[in-house]
Amino acid sequence: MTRKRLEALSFDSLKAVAAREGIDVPDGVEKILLIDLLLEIAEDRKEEQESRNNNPVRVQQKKYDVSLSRDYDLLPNPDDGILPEGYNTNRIVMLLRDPSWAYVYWDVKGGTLQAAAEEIGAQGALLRVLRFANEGGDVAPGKPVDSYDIPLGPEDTGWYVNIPDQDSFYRVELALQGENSEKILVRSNLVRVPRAVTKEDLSFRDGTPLNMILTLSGVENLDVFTPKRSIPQRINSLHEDGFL
Amino acid sequence: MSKGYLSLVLHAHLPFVRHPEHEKFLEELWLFEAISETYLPLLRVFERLELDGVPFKVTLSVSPTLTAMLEDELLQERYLRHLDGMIELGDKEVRRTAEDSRFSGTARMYRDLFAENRRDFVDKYGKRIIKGFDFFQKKGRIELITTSATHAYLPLYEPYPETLRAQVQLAVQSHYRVFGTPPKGFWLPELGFVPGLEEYLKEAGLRYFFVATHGVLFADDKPKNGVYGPLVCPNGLAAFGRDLASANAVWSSDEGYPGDVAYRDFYRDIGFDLPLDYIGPHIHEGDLRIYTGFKYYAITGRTDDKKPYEPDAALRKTREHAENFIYNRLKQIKRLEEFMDRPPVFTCPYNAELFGHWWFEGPSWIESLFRKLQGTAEIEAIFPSDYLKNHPDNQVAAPAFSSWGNRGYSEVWLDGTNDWIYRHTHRAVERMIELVERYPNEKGLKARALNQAAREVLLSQASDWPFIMHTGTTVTYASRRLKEHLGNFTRIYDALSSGAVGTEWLTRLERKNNLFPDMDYRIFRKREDGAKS
Repeated sequence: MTRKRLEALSFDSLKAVAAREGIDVPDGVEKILLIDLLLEIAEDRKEEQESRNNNPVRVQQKKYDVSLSRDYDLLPNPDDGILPEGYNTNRIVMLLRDPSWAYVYWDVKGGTLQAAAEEIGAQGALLRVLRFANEGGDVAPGKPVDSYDIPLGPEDTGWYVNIPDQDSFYRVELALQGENSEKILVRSNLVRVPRAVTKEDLSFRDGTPLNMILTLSGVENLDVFTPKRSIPQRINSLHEDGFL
Repeated sequence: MSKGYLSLVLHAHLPFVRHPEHEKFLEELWLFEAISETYLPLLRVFERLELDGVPFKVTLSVSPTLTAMLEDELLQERYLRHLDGMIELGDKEVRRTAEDSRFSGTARMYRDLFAENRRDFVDKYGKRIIKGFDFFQKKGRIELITTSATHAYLPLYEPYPETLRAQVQLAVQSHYRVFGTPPKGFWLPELGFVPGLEEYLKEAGLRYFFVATHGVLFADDKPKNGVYGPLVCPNGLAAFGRDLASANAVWSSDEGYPGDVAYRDFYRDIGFDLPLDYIGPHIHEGDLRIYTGFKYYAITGRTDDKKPYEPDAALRKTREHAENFIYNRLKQIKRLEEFMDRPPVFTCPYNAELFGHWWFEGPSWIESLFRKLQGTAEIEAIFPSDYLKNHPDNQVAAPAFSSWGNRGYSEVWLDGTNDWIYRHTHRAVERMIELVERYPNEKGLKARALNQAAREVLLSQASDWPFIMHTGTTVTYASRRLKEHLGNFTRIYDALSSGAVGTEWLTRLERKNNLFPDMDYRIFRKREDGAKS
């Protein structure tokens, strides 16, 4: 399936696909060889991806398998709808991916950044990750108990942020920072981060009925992401953190 | 009295794939293969069990998008055309393999299977296999439940209560319209749960749902029955946790039953093995090699040198594996009874399409399971609703954020391959809410446009699209579908703003994406709880 579609693409389009895959195409390479290379890479990725999938995901993907090869997203296609890169509105949304990571994306109204930057003489934008204590209520944060900043580049519109503490509430703010002041442009929804239960917490081996039942429930065989106490800005491998 | 309960839960779902604009459409095969290999074979299993007086109980979740497709006349006709093509290929295969005793029996089996599918589909169900599910529900053999309207993975829409409510309410309405009874239970897509979702389920009159094992084990209070009894959320809804031991026995292709060497190999298919001049008329557009469903080899082992498939040997294996499944549950009961004050319930949720499509012999295994269970006094098959009737007092605790995806949370539906979609699907929700505020009481053409806008917003939220992007199967299609729905929505949004809705285009779109005929766009009305901010 993919070979047929790749063959239908112009050489320049194939080079664009290769560039997106991080392949530097040397001059003079033949189209057929480039297609072979792309297919080979796709196959390797498929195997690598499948090895990381658990049983429900592996089985479920068979529902959508009509062919043997991994598919490339070969956009743009003239028949496709075109989505804007962003929207002309001020918003920032935080989505919890697991107890240690959240994905944040934002849009800023045209002119807002510039006006705010001029107002405070801003040097750059930042993402402020704020932690609020869980005081037993649902959502009633007062002042944040902790925060850290992520400096942003001018082209950034989304970020995976580390959640250092569980059993807390988090939100993010998009802010501009000047030399002596700062301006918050937009504030996200509040996200409740669950407490960090690990299988070790539940495998206490004291022989009580509860312990026995939890063990029989499979607590020691859970294939579940376990939060690690980490420095927010520590760079982990993309595989280690499940981004690829 | 039985000493334990078995709650078998099958989740049947496919995304809404219907392309009247094309004479043939590759991804419509998802539905046709599932009907041929899973839904009709399962109905035949139920029928044989019923005829033989074998008591069986299966909780069956049927997604609203699947029911819409199963009830759609265009897709029914296309399935019939597909079946005729398969029967023709079956005849060819019987002739091709006639002199080869290793494969001739299997070829006849496939031809007969497709012929039987045709008879059942046309003569027994009048092309509406939903009638079969409904029949067994009325007999008290299956409990039909629902899932979110377009199978949205709900934790990633948590900031938008309006869409969570729309996904749940519309699913319940759709279920009632198709089956005539309200569903008691809800399948959270991908078992994706975040605390708070139970409120939307309760609002819709539901009584129970399912969560991943750690959803129960990591609850805010230690679950005294582990996953062997439900937790009751503070709002009264019951959450049944997935039993890992029985799950792994069936899911795992390495250690589980489906990986047995005697079973049919999924990958070896004549769509890839036979020359194009022979198989061409039966694959896509004559030269795009695809799975045909005609597979002649057994799994054999980790080798490319596969042995011919022997259906009788595989059938015998299903009986052995059913026996083994029950044996292991009995062992679990024996260990658990010392620590529990009530019989454990083994909640075994699976994708329905696992049975038949991926694990070809899966429906036979289910049949063997219930036949053997009939002679096993210690275990009784049960619906979750009956369990709650028998055992109304359950521990109150809030289940934890969880899913059954990789590493237990949301990373399958939120990673570098698919995170870009949420900026757009969320924006569409915000705009849909805005449209309801701007046009609270429309009728006529404007109301039609608003209803279609609501359908398009919901279709863009299907968990299938980010899942496919993550797994890399049919990425272009998933990406295109997402853009198509968001594009349709935006066109309506813009047209309403400029006061010019094109009737012809709208009518064409309504005919194409024609699910949820009773849609009322006000389902996206902002309530007091409002979007969290």
